[in-house]
Amino acid sequence: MSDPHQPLSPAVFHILLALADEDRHGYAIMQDVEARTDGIVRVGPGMLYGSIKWLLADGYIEPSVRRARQEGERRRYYRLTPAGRALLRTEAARLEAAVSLARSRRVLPRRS
Amino acid sequence: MPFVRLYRLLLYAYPPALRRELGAEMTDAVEGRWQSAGTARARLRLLAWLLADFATSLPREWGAAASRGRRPAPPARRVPTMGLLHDLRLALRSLIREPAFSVGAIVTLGLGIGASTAIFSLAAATLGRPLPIPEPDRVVQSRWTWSLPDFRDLEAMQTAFTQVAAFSGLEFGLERGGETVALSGLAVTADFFPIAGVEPLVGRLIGPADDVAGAPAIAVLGERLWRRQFGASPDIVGTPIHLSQRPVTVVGVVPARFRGFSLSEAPGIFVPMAAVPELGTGFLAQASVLNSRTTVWQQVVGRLRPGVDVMAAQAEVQAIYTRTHPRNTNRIEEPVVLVPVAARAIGLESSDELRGFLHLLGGATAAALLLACATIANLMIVRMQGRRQELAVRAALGGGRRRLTQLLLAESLLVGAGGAMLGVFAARVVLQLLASYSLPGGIAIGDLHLVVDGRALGVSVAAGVLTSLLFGAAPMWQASRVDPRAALGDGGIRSSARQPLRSALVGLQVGVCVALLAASLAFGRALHHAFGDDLGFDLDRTAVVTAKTTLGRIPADGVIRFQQAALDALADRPGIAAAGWAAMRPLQGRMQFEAVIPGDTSPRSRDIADRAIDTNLVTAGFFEAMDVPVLTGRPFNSQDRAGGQRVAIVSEALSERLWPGEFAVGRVLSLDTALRDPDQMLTVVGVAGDVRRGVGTDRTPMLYLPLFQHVEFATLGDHYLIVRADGVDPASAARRAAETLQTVDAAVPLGGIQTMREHLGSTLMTHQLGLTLFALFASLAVLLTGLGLYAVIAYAVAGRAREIGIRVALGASRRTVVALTARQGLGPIAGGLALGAGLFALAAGAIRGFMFSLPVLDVWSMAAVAVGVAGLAAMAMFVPIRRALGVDPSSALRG
Repeated sequence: MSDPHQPLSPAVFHILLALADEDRHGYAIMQDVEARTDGIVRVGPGMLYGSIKWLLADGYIEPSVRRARQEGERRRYYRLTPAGRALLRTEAARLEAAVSLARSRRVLPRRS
Repeated sequence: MPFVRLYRLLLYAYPPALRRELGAEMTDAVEGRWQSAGTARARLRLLAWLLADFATSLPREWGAAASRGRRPAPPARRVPTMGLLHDLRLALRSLIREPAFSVGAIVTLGLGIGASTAIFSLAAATLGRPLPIPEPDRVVQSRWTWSLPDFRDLEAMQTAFTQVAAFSGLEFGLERGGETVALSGLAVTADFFPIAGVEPLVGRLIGPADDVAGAPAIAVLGERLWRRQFGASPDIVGTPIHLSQRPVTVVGVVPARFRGFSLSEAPGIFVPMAAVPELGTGFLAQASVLNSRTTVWQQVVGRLRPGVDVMAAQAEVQAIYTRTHPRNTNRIEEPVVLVPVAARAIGLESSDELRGFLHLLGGATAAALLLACATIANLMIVRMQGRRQELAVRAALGGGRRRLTQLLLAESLLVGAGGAMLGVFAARVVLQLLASYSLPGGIAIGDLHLVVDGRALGVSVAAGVLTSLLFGAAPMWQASRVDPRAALGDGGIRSSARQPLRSALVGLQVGVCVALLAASLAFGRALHHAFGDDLGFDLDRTAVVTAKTTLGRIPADGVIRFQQAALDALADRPGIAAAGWAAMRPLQGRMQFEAVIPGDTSPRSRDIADRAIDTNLVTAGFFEAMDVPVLTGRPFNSQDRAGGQRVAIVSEALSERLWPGEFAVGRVLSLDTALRDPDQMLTVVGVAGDVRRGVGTDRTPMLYLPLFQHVEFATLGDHYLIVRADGVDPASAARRAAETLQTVDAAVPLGGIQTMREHLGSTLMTHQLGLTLFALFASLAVLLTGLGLYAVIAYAVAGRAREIGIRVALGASRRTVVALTARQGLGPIAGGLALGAGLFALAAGAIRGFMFSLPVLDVWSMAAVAVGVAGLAAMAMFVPIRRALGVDPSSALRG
């Protein structure tokens, strides 16, 4: 299992995030990430599927059978496993901690 | 969709497992992306992005597949990596932040690349593949020229060649729009174009049917002439033109890159050999020239039959010649020698000068490139040392060696790209500059088809990029391996006091500097000697105006009349002290006769070289204009014309040869020549001072004949008016003379004006080229070496600041401090001097050929180089020494 204290790469984080609310296929993940970050983060197919391979192997995501059957497409849809959701939550928490620290040191404005 | 298919092919680069599992989805994703990209610009950006993604994910996937654990490693956890484009952008920003480094590296690399590429391109154009004909090593040329009947015999009897051909250079006058344009061209026999293997651009080329007596007069144009004079009109075939006042039909055009079998300017026009008496000028205008066995004016080439080698062909040609020339019929005793046409084109068989010169230039350019790389290496080392702290911090934050190397690669690529662009531009500029010079053998560089050679460019760029990688990577790896805490706790940048690598590099720079300086000095001395040399006539106040009387096809008596009228008109012109005509151009023209002294029964030398005497036909005023003294007797005057006593003037050296120890004036000699009545006697009326044909040559025994007494030579070639200026510069005097000539007879075309100095300079083009290039390289070397020396010493001083402080505190004198500082630079300078001496010794052999028997290195040159290096060292050390003297011991001790 991955070390909870080690940060995730942004690509992986965004992929997990993309699957948080909906099962998607690869291309849709790419589009979602790009749309959500206003084009700042763009994941290429090599990067994307390399990450997907790893996430699959470690059990953080799994193929979404339900969706595929529904659509009748040959595209593979993915969805988060509970482990994947936990990983995502851990990462989000880590980021939040970092942001709080920044706020306490007045690097970021406090929330009013 | 082709793009998607391409991507599918790219997928094969990935590990098979990934491709099998996810390949289809990746392709779908790409397809979707491609479809949503509307404009060409978007597609281009997509392409770049996909390539970057490919470049970054590929190594990662392969690395993951190869790792021992079956699990693929998670994508980089520590630092965000977003591909090569990102790296490049980072690299660009870091380069912009350090303009001193970036500009220095790019300019250095660009200059090095430009110089080496230009010189290499020049070598490729001359030594590489000079002639654009198929299988040029199977085509050979005879070293000596043939007469046409002898060639016809050869043509009929030879078996060693598939084809043989003869050709000869001619000058023509082309009438266009009322003006006569001077053209140089070739008269060729039937198999000339088949040997050359060239295809016509339009129409057809000269063939067997054209080279027979009585065939219609035709011509083939060169492409440049076709474009310039006829606007590249496609209807040129069949158009009549006026060549040397005869109507000639154009039948075709040859492409511009075809230059015959020589490297000089492409012939403007080609005519069949049979047409020469009709179209030729001067002595070629006689029908007898085609049948004369004594006029040897043909170059002969042949394409060897497959399986026949040069020696066998040579033997056959020699046998044929010997068979057709029984012993007592004007036979040329020199053996037949056949030379590969490519070598002949650059005059290699007549002198190795060209090859030596190009090797010399090559050496200089390699030195320049080496210098550039050494400078870049130094720059990289300095830069990396300055970044040690930054690198340590990055390492602490988990930057990783690979990441840093990627950054370094990106930076080196950017510098390499910038240097390459600058280099291409610089190479073009250098090639343009070179075009006005000529190589040994009289090859005008401007006539060569020079392009920037891709190979040279590639090699230089690779050298530069590799150097910056090598010298940037080493310290970087070192720094990233360092324990970050140690580096950070250091309290600042500390460069090592001992810097053997940098000193060695600067030593290399000094060595190159020394060698280049010595070489420039050598060429400079040679030129100075050449221009200062006394050739026996005035170089400063004389000029030459060329009258192209042959182009105008003026009959002999017309030429004489024109020349006399010109002399009369020039007699009182202000600014012109003296003027006279000559049939041979000083320093260049050569005509030889044999002189026979009646009653001289001593055995005549068998060697024709001993018997031949350089002769010039001149008018009154010639000796005065050239400022050649007439030591005894008198110069030619207005009485020396047709009908008067046949006279001659000999030079001092000739007088000593013919009548050693005796008074020459009043003596009689006769000319032994096929064109003259051998019974005519000439009386010597004067002895003139000797002239020399060129720098470093011996005095030439010369025979002068009065031009007006030898009317038959009047139409043999052009005539040259020598003028000596009086109170104005020679160029102005020449212009005034030219104007006068035009007023005397506007129909005589003038060929150009040159001062005698320019004329001499044009024969010394190669030396001037050598001097220019070496001086250029040497200046560059001095600049870069000076900076390198400064940097080495400055950093050494900075590193030893504590030591210096301690010494000063302990009572060391200023002199000791200076000596300590100076010693830092001593190593590289001493090493550099030794290296430079060695490099120069290597080149000395090649330089010697250009030195006119001067020593390659004399005491003054050595002293100059030593002073130069010492001065350079002193300047480089000035600032660091001042800083060392200003070191405050207390702060140094504290620090």
